[in-house]
Amino acid sequence: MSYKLSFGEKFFNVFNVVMLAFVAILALYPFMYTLSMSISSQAEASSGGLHFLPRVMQITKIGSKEDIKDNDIHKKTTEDYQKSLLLYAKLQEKYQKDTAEFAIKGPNEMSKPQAPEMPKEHHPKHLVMGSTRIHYHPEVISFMSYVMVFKNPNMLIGYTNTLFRTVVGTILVLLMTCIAAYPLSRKSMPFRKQLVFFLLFTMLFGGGLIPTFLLIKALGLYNNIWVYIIPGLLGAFNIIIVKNFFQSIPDSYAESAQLDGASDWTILFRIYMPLSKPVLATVALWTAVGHWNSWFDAMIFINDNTKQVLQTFLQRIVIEGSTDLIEKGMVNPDLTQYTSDTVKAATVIVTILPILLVYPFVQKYFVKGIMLGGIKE
Amino acid sequence: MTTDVATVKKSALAESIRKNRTLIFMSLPFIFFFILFHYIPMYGIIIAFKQFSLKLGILDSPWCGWDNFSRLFGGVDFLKWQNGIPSGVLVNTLWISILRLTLGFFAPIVLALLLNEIRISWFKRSIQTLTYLPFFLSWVILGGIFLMVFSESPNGPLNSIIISLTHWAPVKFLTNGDLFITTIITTGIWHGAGYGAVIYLAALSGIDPTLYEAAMVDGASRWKQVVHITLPCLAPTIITLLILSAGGILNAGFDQIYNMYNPMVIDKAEIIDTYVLKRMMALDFGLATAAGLFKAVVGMAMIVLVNSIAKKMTDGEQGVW
Repeated sequence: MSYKLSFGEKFFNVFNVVMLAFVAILALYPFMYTLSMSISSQAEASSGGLHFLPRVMQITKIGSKEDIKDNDIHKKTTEDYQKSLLLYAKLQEKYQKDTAEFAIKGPNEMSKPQAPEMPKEHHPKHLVMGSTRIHYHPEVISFMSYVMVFKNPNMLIGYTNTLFRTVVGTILVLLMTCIAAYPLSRKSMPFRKQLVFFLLFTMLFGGGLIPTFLLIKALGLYNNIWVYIIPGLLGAFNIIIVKNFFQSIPDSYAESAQLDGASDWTILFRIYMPLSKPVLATVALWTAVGHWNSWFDAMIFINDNTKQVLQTFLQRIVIEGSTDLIEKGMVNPDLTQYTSDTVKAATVIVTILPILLVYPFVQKYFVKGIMLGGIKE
Repeated sequence: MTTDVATVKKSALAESIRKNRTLIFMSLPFIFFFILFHYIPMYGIIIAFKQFSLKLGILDSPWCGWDNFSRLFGGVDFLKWQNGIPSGVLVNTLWISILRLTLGFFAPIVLALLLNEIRISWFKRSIQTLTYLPFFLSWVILGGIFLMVFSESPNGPLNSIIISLTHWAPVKFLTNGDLFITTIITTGIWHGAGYGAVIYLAALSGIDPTLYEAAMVDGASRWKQVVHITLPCLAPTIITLLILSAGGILNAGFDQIYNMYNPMVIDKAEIIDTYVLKRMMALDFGLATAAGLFKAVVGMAMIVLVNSIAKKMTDGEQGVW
């Protein structure tokens, strides 16, 4: 920049950075909370406040010096109380010994022992209103919630079915979309415009839930695992963006291949598809994420527990608050190690982990996809 | 003469079909697929005009005219009037949808404009990546997370803070109808703002930098540059997205609401899609299809309407088609 920043602009720059950092924390915090919950013990999970990683911290109400003082006093009195409890225990022991000795020796040889005074009951001040706890890390990390999640046989079923639909679904969608997009991208194709309209109209209007449901039943796809794959094989949106990308490939590529005797199939698989890797990667990623996240079709069309996907099991546990997971997965009777909330949180983490792990690496393809599809047509 | 032209045309078509037979063969699967999975269900809409029974099937069920629609609009769930004030499923849907279209529409634009002013590229990229993340997770997951975050127990993360700062009773984010709508809208913006901002950022990166250089030479401040260059250049994108979102006027966000609502807020949060699902579960297929058809027709009409308005206002330059 060749010109000087005015004070207002400098102020705006600082404000902007702070503002956006705050937005980013807002975006991230629910996930941090869930992660923190998932490794919390029962005591930790049922105490309020913000949960963070990775260290315990206590703060008081912002700006209130009184509370900070209160907190220090509380800390000191807690320590004192614990010390006096220990002292009391020792005195009590000594008193019992002395009493026994007194019983044998009698009042002539020693004075009557005095019972020690009970320390005053201690009321922790910070549990009273006025201060907020920030959990910087569960005081006692407990992975018991994860043990509970993995002991649940439904999780394995869910993972298997979700992986099946994601992998098989994505591969077939890519293949079918390319085969559909290719003829629509060629200028010599008869009725090309009409066919594109035939596709676009399905984006504007649809039959709705009931007719689709009856169709699925009539096709024998009800309670059939292929219901995850087949109805989603082709979508107008995917075909159009791949078609547009194919059209941006110079005609001369196809023409010279045709002169060498290549068929349309060869041109599609050997020339067009390899040249379209960026758009195909985008379509593949969107499709894969869509498959991973789908739950409605599984909820409506599948009755059989062994064919359900991860998301529907998660839904049962998290939303409907079904606790059969906790009962079925009961491996450890130690209830201090987890609560239904920590098990819910652990289930959420197990479900989103695959997406979180690949997300940073594939994110740029998603962005590309929005630019390809979002603006044009 | 005319027959000659027709035969020539016919033979030209036959020739074109013969030449392009591989292409035509390749398009058969998708034509078949779209007829089967999209156009046949459109035909199934006739259920809306039938007294449907599963035993008789679609074709043999008796016709009943507009009966299902009069049951829909005459019933107590969909649309009811109390002292001249409308309420019910339709009103809920419109209200939630309008809140989303207005409040939710500006959030991504503002986020994109703020991000665009950041000159530190790693910071910009990280913020973008983080705000964009929620869009990749299903509402089953996000709903589960938010039910914990907005928990109404005094120990819930949000409520425990509110209680310690204000000494209020726990705020009923999830069980008070109006507060639930607020929760839905807020978390909806949280979910979609990052994604929306990416679209606008793409449009922003396409603006000719010489425009800004010229403005700087003329002494325009950053704010003036935003008002006179950035916003006008964004207008086409804004209009396109507005047209596309107009079609969703009766989409109040099924996934989110289904995964977050509860019987306590049904009065305010039952929307057309959840209502259709419930009527279907109750095996009232005729009414469910009628409600679905009403939604689809309104959606299509809105897109066509807004598109033609946009075209007229910009002399045919703007519009999706």
